[in-house]
Amino acid sequence: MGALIKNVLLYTVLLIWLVAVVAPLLWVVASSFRSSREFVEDPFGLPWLITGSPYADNPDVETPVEAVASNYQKAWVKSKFSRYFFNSVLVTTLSLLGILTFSSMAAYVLAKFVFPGSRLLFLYFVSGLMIPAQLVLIPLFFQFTTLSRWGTAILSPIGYEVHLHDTFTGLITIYIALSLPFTILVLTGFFKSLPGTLREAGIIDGCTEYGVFRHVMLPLAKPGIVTAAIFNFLGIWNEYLFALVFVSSDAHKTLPLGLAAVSMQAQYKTDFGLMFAGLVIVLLPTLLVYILLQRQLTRGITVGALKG
Amino acid sequence: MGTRAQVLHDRITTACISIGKESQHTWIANTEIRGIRAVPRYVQQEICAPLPATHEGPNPALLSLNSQRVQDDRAPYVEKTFNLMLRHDCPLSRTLARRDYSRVLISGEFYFYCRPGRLAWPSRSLYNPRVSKLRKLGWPAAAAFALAGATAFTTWDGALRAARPDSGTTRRLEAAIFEGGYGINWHQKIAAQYTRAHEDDGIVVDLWGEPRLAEKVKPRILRGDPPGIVLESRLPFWLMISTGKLLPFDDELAKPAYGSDRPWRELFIPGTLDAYTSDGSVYAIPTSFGAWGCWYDARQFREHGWSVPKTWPEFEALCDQIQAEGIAPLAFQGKYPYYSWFTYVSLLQRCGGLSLINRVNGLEPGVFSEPDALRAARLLQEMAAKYFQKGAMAMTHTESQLQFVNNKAAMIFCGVWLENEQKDTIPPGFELRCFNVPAVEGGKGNPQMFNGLGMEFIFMPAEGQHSDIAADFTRYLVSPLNAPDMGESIGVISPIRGGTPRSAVSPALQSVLDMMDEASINGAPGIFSCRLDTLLLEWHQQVMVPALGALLEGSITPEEFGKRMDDGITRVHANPDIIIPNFTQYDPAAFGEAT
Amino acid sequence: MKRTREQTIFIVLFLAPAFLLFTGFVAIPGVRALLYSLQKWDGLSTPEWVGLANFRELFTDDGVFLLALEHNAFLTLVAGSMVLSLSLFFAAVLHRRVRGATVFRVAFFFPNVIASVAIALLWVLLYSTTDFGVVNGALRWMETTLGWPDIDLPFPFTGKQYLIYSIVPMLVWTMTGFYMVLFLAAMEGIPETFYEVAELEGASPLSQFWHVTLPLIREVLVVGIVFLAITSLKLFEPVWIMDNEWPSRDTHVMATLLYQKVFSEYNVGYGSAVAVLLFVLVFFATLVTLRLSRREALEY
Repeated sequence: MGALIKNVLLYTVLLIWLVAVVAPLLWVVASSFRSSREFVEDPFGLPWLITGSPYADNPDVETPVEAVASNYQKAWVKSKFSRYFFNSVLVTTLSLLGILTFSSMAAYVLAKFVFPGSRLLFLYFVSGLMIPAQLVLIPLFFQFTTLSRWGTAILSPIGYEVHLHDTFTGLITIYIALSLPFTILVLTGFFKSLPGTLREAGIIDGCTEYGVFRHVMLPLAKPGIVTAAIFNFLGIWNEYLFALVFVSSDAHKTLPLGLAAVSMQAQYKTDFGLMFAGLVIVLLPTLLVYILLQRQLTRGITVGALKG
Repeated sequence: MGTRAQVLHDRITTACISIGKESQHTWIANTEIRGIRAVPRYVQQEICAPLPATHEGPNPALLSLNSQRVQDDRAPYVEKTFNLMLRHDCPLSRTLARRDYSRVLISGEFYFYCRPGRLAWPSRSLYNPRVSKLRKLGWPAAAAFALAGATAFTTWDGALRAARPDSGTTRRLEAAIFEGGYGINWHQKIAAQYTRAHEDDGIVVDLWGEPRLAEKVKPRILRGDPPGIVLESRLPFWLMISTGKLLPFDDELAKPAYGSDRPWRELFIPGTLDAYTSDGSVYAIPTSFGAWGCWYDARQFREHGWSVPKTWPEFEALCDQIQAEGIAPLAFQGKYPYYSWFTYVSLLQRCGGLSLINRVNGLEPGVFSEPDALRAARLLQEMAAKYFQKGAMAMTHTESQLQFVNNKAAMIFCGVWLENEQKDTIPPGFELRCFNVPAVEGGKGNPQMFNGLGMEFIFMPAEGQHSDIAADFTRYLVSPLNAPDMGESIGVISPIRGGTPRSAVSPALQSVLDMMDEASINGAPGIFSCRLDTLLLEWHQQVMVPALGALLEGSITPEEFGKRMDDGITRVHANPDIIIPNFTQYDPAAFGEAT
Repeated sequence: MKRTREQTIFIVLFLAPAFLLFTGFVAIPGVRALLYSLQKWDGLSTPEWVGLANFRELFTDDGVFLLALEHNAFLTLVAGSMVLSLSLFFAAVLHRRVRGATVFRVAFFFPNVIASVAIALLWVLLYSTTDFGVVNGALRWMETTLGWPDIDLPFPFTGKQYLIYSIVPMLVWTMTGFYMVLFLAAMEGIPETFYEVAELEGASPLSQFWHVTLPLIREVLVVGIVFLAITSLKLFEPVWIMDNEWPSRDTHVMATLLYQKVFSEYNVGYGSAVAVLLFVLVFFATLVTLRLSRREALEY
């Protein structure tokens, strides 16, 4: 009897938390399917899309389908979420590519070769984990100005200028550099766990060092790379502070930045539909990644915690 | 070490692999696999496919893996066979079938796969020295390819861009406009007009704006890439002036205004150019004239029989009356306590006269703790405590103004931009009118005067491009030529004296013009303003706004409020970096006040 | 073993990109931040060396920094302890293989993959003082049915003086799932036999948790606590977004303060000094973490 009560109690607590976590998100999704009028009339009802609009006879009121279309249309086209989405995809993809390439290269060498200073170099990279991003934020800002000036000085004879501020190049460079310590730490550990005999065998068989790395080690390290990729993806896709500082024009804004800007305006114009649609657009890719890679994500949790 | 052939021969191995419940990579670490190189990559990968977490014991998919390596004298690489025994439902069997493995059914449950005599992993290219040489040759090519890709991307991205084209082609002026109550539509219209007029000169004005313009422009000034002109009030102007990052408008002010033959400078309402004048140079041009008052719905007042108060007791009586009828007397933009600053300054003048305003502008120590200043703070606090709408302190400006135009609250203190800001939400029949901040009993100030000043200033950053166009466009924007349209379109009263005709503006703005007429004394405009909010940005943000918020919420007394404000001023004086320029003193006598 | 020339080239080539990027965009800026913190600079004129004056200002000024630090400490302690106890509780419950454990685990973790900007915006909506503010709605319902809490509604949760408190539930909502999964992973590494023995000895589930689970996940627990502290120290988006991108002394945390000092008030020295202190705090926290975390945990 006591056990039953205890179980009921436990489940109640679990279910309450489940509702607390899931309900707001469902509310966002449901609200994105509703017009502002609908939302104001009953903020917590089901979308008229499902229940049917009470204004079905009134031709002046947009139909639920139109409301959904207009929310997403407004968000996607007018508020430039398509642009932000593309930017985020571009920045995230290229950053991930850079991070994984450079980190796996460095990590492989650090894990599998012993040379004078190799241990020190590893510590050098890993010490980056102790540097909060905010510390380098300020100097990087001014350094970008300086680097742009130097670059322009070098390239001006051939008629070119260099601009690192407010470009994808600048942002991607920062993302790559800042993610190196974490990724190198994870991948070094990973490469270390692969048997060294694999490399020796490959070399004896006439394979080049690069060949061993590319065709033997990299495929074997795939699980580690996937874990690192997931955490870096989430980090970069959701990153806000650096985008805020290093990007200013709409043409280069990433999704979190665009979402913040648009919602600020949507609040003033009380356009709730637009705001919720924007939220959904930001949530959706991470939700997909999470559902697909949920196992790898939670398995690599100890590593992920380091990402901070 | 023996010969290569010997080594290879030694490595004919058999690996029997049993996999526990650990995930894929651990089996490699935990298992001795000397012959691993004989196993093709795709086999490895698929065997590696993770097992369910609940699985225990050896990998059920793979029973044994057996590989043999045969030295072939004709070629420097190895041919080998490898055989696997797999469970029939192992996913790997599908791959093997695709790769021409022959399959023999051993029992009901297991298959034996074999394929003899075929070149296996690693691929031929890695083993063949000729190909390897090619690869070595390929390095420069790969590097060149990467460089080309990077160049293409950075060029597309704008990180690498062609230097500014020579003069003669289009010159673009970037104008950044604060998107506040007036919006930017009118400014865009003027920019388009200007662009059209200068089509032949190849001049284009790109005008954009947003509500948080200051936060967007500040980093750009810091990195040396500001817009050509900026209309924004929250930039560190004095620092920029002292470091030469702003250009003066002096030369431009001497030129005749658009729509007049007189020099531009002479047309401004006296006092409106003062705010950003340093050593006789004018660094900013106001685009609008700001007046602060209390707004109400004349229709609602009529219906309820309320009348406009002239004195503070009348005002309080009116508020009590409104409250008794179940309506909130005052809406307030509580999320931004700064909105009460102008009411506070008005009350300072009402209580202490222009001489108190002079002392505040002069940053006199202890000025906010003077009895008159304390009285102003007390009036403000009492008003907030008694008459502000419930929840007002959490409302943004639009939320609270929405409450006002929907008659949920009867009055609101606000600037002239209110009408335009709420244009879309003011319901039909709403008669928006304005009255001056009421006189206080025994106050030293002339109650006809009002808090009025040049606003929405335009600045010209020195590092912006095309300063000649910037100055000329500003002169065009703020001119007798465009002032009537500005009044009509967005309800702005121009800082150009008499530039905004009564006929051009709405009844709401006419009530403001009436207020101006009433305040006019001996031909001089009866306006006063306090410069601290625009002069001391850090004090503004870190001291004034939080102190006002606390005062309005009632968490500090007027005395504590005065002390916090004064302490802030003391710190300003202690900080040698803060530039405090001279200012024009008001003459109390000229406006009929006792000195 | 003698290294061939090819090998040397390989090592250098493979290390070079990461080394250059890390040095140029992390290490050098890190050092420059230290230098900036010793300067008085507005970003426009020439910098001036002032020694430790910026740090003195941090602690004497008008107390903005101390307030920000206090807010960080408050969030670390209050939100941190709530996250810790809740996540331990959930982990312990799910560890005992309740029905639907996977569903709970997957759902609880989910807020961690959402952009913090989106979370902050969502909570602004939840806290709204208008009709759709769920939290105020719930409070109003409680007040009418239970007569408690007896306060003025709607309550301005995102008002300046309540914001820091209002962030706590949001952080708990977001982070509990993460630490739950972290602790759960550690608990799953505990051999079942330990519990069997405890069971035989007649230990209650509570004392099993106390005497078996907790001591055995101690290392991960410590790591978790330090992570929590670091996360709370670096906090930026919640305050920034919920206070309309314009925090003031009532709401500042260190990260928002340094951003505003530099990019809005052009006080680069002061902002860098805040950044350096932030670094010192994070540095020690991370040092402790790396010390305490088992190598295997990092390498799987």
